[in-house]
Amino acid sequence: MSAAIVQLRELRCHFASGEGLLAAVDGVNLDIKAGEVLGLVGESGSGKSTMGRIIAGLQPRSAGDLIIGGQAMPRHYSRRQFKAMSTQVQMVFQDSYASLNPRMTILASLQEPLWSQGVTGAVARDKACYWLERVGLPQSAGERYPHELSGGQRQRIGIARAFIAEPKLVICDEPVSALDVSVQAQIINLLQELQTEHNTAMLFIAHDLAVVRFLATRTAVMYLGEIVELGPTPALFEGPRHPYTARLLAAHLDGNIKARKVIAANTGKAAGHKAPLATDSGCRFAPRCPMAEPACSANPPWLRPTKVDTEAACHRLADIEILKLRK
Amino acid sequence: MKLLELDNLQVSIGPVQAVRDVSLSLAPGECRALVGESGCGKSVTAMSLLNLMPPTAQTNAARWDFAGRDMRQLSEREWRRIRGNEIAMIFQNPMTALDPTQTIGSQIAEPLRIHKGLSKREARMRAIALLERLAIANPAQRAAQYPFEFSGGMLQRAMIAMAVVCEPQLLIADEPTTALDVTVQAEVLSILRELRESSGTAMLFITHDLGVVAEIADSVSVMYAGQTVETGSLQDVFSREAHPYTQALKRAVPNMENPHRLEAIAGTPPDLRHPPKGCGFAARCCERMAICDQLPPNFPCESTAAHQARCWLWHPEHPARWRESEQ
Repeated sequence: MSAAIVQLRELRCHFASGEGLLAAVDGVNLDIKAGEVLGLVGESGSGKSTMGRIIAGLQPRSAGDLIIGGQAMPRHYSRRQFKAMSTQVQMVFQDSYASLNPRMTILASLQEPLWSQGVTGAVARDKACYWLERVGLPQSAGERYPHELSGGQRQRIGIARAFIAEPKLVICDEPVSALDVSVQAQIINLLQELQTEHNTAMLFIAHDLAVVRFLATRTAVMYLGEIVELGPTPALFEGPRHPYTARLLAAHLDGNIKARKVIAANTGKAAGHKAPLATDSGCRFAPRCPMAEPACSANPPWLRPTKVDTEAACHRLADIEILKLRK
Repeated sequence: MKLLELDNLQVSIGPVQAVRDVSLSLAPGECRALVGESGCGKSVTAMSLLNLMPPTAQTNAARWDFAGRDMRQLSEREWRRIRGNEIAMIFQNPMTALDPTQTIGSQIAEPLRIHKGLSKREARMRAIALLERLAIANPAQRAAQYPFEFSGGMLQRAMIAMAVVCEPQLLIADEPTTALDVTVQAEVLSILRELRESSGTAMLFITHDLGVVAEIADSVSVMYAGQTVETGSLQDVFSREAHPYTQALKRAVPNMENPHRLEAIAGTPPDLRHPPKGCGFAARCCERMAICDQLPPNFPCESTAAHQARCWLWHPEHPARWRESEQ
């Protein structure tokens, strides 16, 4: 079970920007194990989508290694390599409308991943029909075009399309954040069913912490291109060690009216929100961190094991653990 | 004395009866959340309250009083004096709601010059002071910048500044935090709460996020298929929810404390071109009775005086009530 299907080693993705090299993903080490659901949370701009796109082969990396199924992947894929890779990794996008070809019927869109693997004709058609039904759509929907379906229905197609080629890993980039609450529940349940049924590994990218808490077995927290905390979901949510994780959890509104969160105005020095640069030294969270010391800005922290089975990248980890224990 | 009394608001746009029966009231300084899924008529209600619906829309209300005036009688000239002055609105997407060709400062100052007759210089000073209060660093420089130079959270704060600059009696906020990160959302909510406490502005807060509702609202109105189906205080609606739709909605949201299987609401909302004869929610309701399909529960049934649910379950002669009276 615990064989890693995807391994990231010092993965970096830098973009040229006006201020210098923008480090969207900066030195990420991560394993995605077979059959697990790995949640990836963080604010917008933290690099979580870029990371998903690199693994799916939609974005070339700048440096580091990407190993899928034990094979090192090239930085730029040839057509053939990309096809081979796409049998292992598939993606579900946030915008279900933009991710389907408006000029193709739903049934054709569903068969496309099969066609690219050389499965054609009646076999592909039957399989597509099966998947239509599996995700809870009537057969008649197959003859329709994307604009004729609702957002929830289109997202079901997006999911069927990702699972139909039986990949080892499905990357879900905010699959439910554009949907209504009641539809969101349907899609989350469907994803969970399919995941357990096929034992597919899933990288679930979201900013909604409750959804990640619900779905993910492990969770990684990203901040400005780096993973700052990583561990089993329950441990991470119950005992966050990194100050950023704690801040993120504190800002989450869980609909509990008995314990309204008193959020002080000016909590965020959001004005000091800076884009991460490749030349940064020290901890990127330090300017917003309540625990920051001058030393934090000198050297970058790295992931270290905590007492609760998670890993956190914080210079003051030892002090934080003492504080937590005292409570 | 209520600030706003709205009774049986109906808005139809061509063949679509977008709002079929919305009744709500607001006391000065009260924050009422208007909750519902997309397409249920929340935003149409908000736009109607500002008389901003297109001329093709037909609006009707049994009663529509604001600050002692009958709003149904007003001319467009009189409306212009109210909009942005006595009733102001925060729109969901600040990027499209702000003028890209004008500086932030002049957009915030504009209502002051129009409604309060302030000079350009004075209005500008007031705008800068307000930006500073909303925790924007270097407000004088920032006021001279254009919307594209602001981040999402800062734009939303600029939008808030524009809405509150004339100290309106009623502030309508249409999903003001939906597009924002959790940490920025927490900040915006705390700013709104502070403004409400300091100036006693009543607020109609439109959202589909129950977590946000629990955080900011005093009272809640739940909308479904163009009708307010449940109205009550925050405690009423969150801990003694009376309408089956509200109950279903709460079961569909993932909860951080006790992750349970999500119960999606089966089916889809009715087509508002041909609204159902009986209760709008009947087709998806697990408590459905024969009468639900035939007659709409058009009397707002009362569980207590302030807590009302539009549902046959709360009819005084429903068997459940008999048992209560016997006890």
